[in-house]
Amino acid sequence: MMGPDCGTAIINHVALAFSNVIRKGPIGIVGASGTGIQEVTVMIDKLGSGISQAIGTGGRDLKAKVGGIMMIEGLKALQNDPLTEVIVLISKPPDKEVARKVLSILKERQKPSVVYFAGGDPEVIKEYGSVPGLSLEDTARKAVAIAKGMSIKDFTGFTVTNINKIIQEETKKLNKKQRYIRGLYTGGTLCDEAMIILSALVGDIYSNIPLKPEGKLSDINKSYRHSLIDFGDDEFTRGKPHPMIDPYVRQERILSEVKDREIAIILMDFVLGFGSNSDPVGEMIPYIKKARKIAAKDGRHICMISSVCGTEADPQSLIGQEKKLKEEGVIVMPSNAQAVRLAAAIVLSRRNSQ
Amino acid sequence: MTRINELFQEELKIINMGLESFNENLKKQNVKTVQVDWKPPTRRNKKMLSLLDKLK
Repeated sequence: MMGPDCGTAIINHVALAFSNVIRKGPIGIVGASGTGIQEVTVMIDKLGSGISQAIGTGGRDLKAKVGGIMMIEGLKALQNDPLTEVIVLISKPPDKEVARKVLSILKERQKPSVVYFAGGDPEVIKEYGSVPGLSLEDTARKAVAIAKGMSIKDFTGFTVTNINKIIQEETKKLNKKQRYIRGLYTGGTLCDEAMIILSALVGDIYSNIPLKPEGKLSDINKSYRHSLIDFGDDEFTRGKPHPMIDPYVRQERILSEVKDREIAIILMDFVLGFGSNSDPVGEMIPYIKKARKIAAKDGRHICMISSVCGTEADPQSLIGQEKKLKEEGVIVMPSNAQAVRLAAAIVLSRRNSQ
Repeated sequence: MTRINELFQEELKIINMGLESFNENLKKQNVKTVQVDWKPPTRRNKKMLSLLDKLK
């Protein structure tokens, strides 16, 4: 049974609802997070491995009221599954006790495992004999390394070779007042991941789905300082299609964001695969152009950074979607984590050059 | 073995309630499906009805 808030699974290599086309392989996933599963499976595919099963539980499964019941069932199934050699667990920020309960079951029967519990303590994960993922990309990299018998290393950097040049060039284009990042997300866990990475690098982050209560935006339609918005959250989707299907809310929001003279960077995710809009990038391009025009009227450059979560086998064509963004001067990074790190690096470089 | 493990051994048969595009995507993957037309209750809210019509 899948339903509202549980919209991603790949069972027996059938992509259900919002899922990507991923090659077969030895990594089994249980995720209390839709776009978390999508980002990890896509990265696994890009790294040349594949998945046995990906079981979506719904983003609330590891909340105290639910108690992780579906993740525990999914985990037991993967422990019994002969085609699963490595287990990956993913969750939106979990309840601490529920997280420990799930980890204790993971420890019972040892198959190697990697765990990404957004905002969780890596040391607790190590305590239960599992490998902590530091980001969704890092989680995928570690799972693939285990599956291929390679050494496990933390990945917190970039795979783009000319990254310092990009940082320098983008910093130069910004004026002294431009200092804030605005993240316009369709994927909730991608937004969570971005907030976790950014808050450690640039300071307080405001959101409609904040990591801490004090980061809650008083008006979700108005950003404040560094703000990251999850347009897939209930407050935006009540009575409306999910923004991965209909990007209307994000289209309007980018135009209002660029009117703020203090913003430096717009950060965006694009999620491909079954279930998503047939051309998510194409839907945003006219609004990206309009946004650039608004900023250009008073001589401002807006640095736009994105990542596209998808594989070349997805219905929308990954390369085609990335090409459209690059043609509009949008920087395309290989993962959400790298896109976020780049945004932070430019803001810090701008700060240091004053 | 759990019920989920039994599912791993079987051909998937899926009942899709609501959003028809999900059903179309399953057909593209040659999966056996049954489509059930369903919309969330609207309590006669006209604005909500017009928004839900867009989901077709």
